[in-house]
Parts: sequence; structure tokens; C-alpha cells
Amino acid sequence: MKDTEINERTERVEEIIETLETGDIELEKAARLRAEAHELLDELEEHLAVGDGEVAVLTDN
Amino acid sequence: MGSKANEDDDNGVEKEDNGIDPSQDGVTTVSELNASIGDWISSAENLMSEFVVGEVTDAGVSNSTLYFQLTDDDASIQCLVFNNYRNRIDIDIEEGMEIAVVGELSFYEAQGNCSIYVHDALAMGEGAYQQKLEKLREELTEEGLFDDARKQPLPDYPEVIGVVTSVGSDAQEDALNAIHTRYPDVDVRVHGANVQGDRAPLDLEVALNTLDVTPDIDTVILTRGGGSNEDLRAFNEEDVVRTVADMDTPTVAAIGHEMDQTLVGAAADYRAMTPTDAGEAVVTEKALVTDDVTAQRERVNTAYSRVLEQKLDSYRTRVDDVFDAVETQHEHEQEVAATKRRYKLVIAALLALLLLGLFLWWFL
Repeated sequence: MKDTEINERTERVEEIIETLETGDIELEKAARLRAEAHELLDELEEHLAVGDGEVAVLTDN
Repeated sequence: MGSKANEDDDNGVEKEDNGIDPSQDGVTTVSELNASIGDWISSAENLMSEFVVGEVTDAGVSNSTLYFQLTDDDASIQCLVFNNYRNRIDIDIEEGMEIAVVGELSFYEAQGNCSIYVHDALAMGEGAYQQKLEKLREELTEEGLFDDARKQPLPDYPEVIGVVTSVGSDAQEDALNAIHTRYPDVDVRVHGANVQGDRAPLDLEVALNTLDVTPDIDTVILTRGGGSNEDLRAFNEEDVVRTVADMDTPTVAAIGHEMDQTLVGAAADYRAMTPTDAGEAVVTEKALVTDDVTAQRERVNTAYSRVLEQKLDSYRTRVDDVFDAVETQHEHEQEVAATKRRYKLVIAALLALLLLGLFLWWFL
């Protein structure tokens, strides 16, 4: 996942939070947005575990 | 030759008896040799010319004494300007200058080193290397190789980082420590290279080009620790500078210390001060990012709970309103029914009175 994808997800979560915070929303839609936000955040958390910190020496000097 | 039998010295260390005795003729110690050289230098006439000309490199000040190497193509000698002479010299001795020094030759017996104790110095102009370097810097600047517009942003979330450095060096260790302290999960690919000497420029080019085409590498760090200006010359070689400038992968250069201004540093997308700074520059702090995600999740939950509460409050209010309306209607209906009953009683009473009236009128 590249920077743009991460930033897009983060921005979408922010949008969802703002929409929910206005309170002017149907309950069914609010539940749908909450589920979408959790899915995006799960993806972000999964992405943050990018590797296992391996150091590989390709070529000595 | 003497016996091969082994003996112990005063410290109990086994010494081999090879028949050489420091006290015999033809044998000398390092101390005696250096003392002889020192005596010979101090008594030699015309050993030191009136002026010694060379380029100033590796200049610095320690305990008020200015020190530098006076260098030409093939050789260098250490020069020291003690504090009492520094104020008498008309020029500011700086890196890259070509100067002529006047002074006395001194031999430091303890280390077997020769130095010039400088009493005066005259400027000769920029040294040959420095002139060449400045000319190259001007050409590349004019070409736009160092322009900000050419520089690529570093990715915020790299997954794999390439490092070009001397394998096993302190620079490698510092850069890796900085990367993994901030972001332990990031994988690193190290491509070793000679970072000084004749082979260094080609080594560096090969390493950079290799990492640039290695799949998945998001950022490249080119680094080495501090050294003399001569040690860092590979990082001013035109081919190396052009390789760095042409990298498709965003590249960070951390060469030497903060004061070391190499052309590679100017051509890189980002110039870090030290290997540690380079490591810190290429990764964000994972703990902060995960904290942000956790905070966002809490905000989503809080905002959703608030929506839920508002809806429940709204439903509760509506139920209460409907109940109140029904109750009011019921009370009204009860009042109407009571009124009707009262009317019926009055009517019945009136009818009874009417019947009674008719009855009395009929029979009386």
C-alpha cells in the first residue's frame, strides 16, 4: 500500500467521523459508515505491519 | 644464532630467544631510533626551505592551536600554528587554499611524526583540487542538477529501504539503529561499497544503480561516517553525483558530518547530517502512526454512539408525545361521557316531571 492509498483511507475515515459528528444522519446509514470506517482502519493497521525488520546484505564491499 | 630455547620475561610471557640482544651493536630500539632522527633533524642545516607550498586540507582548531595538512599531489605533512603565532599571520588559513608556510621542522619522537611549526603563511590562491571542485559545482549548478524542482519527496510509509555504505561500518549500524528504533518492521537491503579510495566511485555507482532497479525498494540511503576531505572525495566525483541525481528511487545522502558539504549531498533528494539523521528521515515513528489509528477508531465509535443516543432520545420523545396525546384524548372522552350521563339524568328527570304533570292534570 503506497502513501496515496494510505492517505486516501485516512481522509475517508476523517470524512466519516465528520459526517457522524454532525448527527444529522439516519441510523442505518450511520451503522454502515461505522462499519466502513472500521474496515478502513483494519486495513491501515494491517499495512503498518510492513515486514519483519529483516536486514539483508546484498553485496559486501 | 643462539639457542631456540624459550624463556619467560618479567611478566611471565614466553619469549623466543633468537639471539638478538638490544644492548649489542647493530641493534636499536624504537626510542633510540626516533631520538637519533630527532637529533639529526634538529641539527641538519638547510633541510627546511624558506617556504613550503601546498594545499590546506583537514584544518581544525584544538586547544587554540590551528592544525592542518599541507598537501600536494603525492604527499602531505602536518602543520601546527600555535596561538602566539596565529594572530601574527595576515591570512585566514582555510580548507582548499594553496599557501606557502614559513616555519620550523619538528620531530615528535614519541610517535615518529614530522610536523611544521608554522610561523607565517602566505596565500597562493585556491588549491588545484579545490579549484576543480568549485568549477564542477558551478557547472552542475548551472545545469540545474541541484535544483529543488528535481528533488523527489520521500515516501511517508516505506516498506523496504536500501542502504549503500561500507558493510559493518559504524555508519551502517547507526542508520539501521535509527530506522528500526522508529519503525521496527521495515526491511532493509544493504549494498556494500568502498566509500573511500580509488575503487569507491565505481563501487558507489554500481551499488546505487543496483538498488535503484531492485523491486520494492522505496527509499535509498547513501551514507558513510566522518573522514578527512580526502576521504570524502569519492562523493564529489562527477559520475557519482550524476548517478545520485538520476536515481528514480528517492535518495537520502548522509556523508560525514554536518560540516561536510559534498556534491552528492547537494544532488540527493534529501541531505541528512549524519547516518543516524538519515535513518530518522526515511521512516516515521510507528508508535505515533498506530496511536493515530487507535485515536481515529475511538472517534468513530464515539461519534456513532452519539448518533445512536440522539436517535434513541428522539424516539423516546416521540413515544412520550404520543402517549401524552392518547392520555389527553382519553381524559377528554371520559369527560364527554360523564357530561352525556349527566344530560341523560336531567332529561330523565324532566321527563318524569312532565309525566307527573300530565298525570295530575288528567286526573285532577
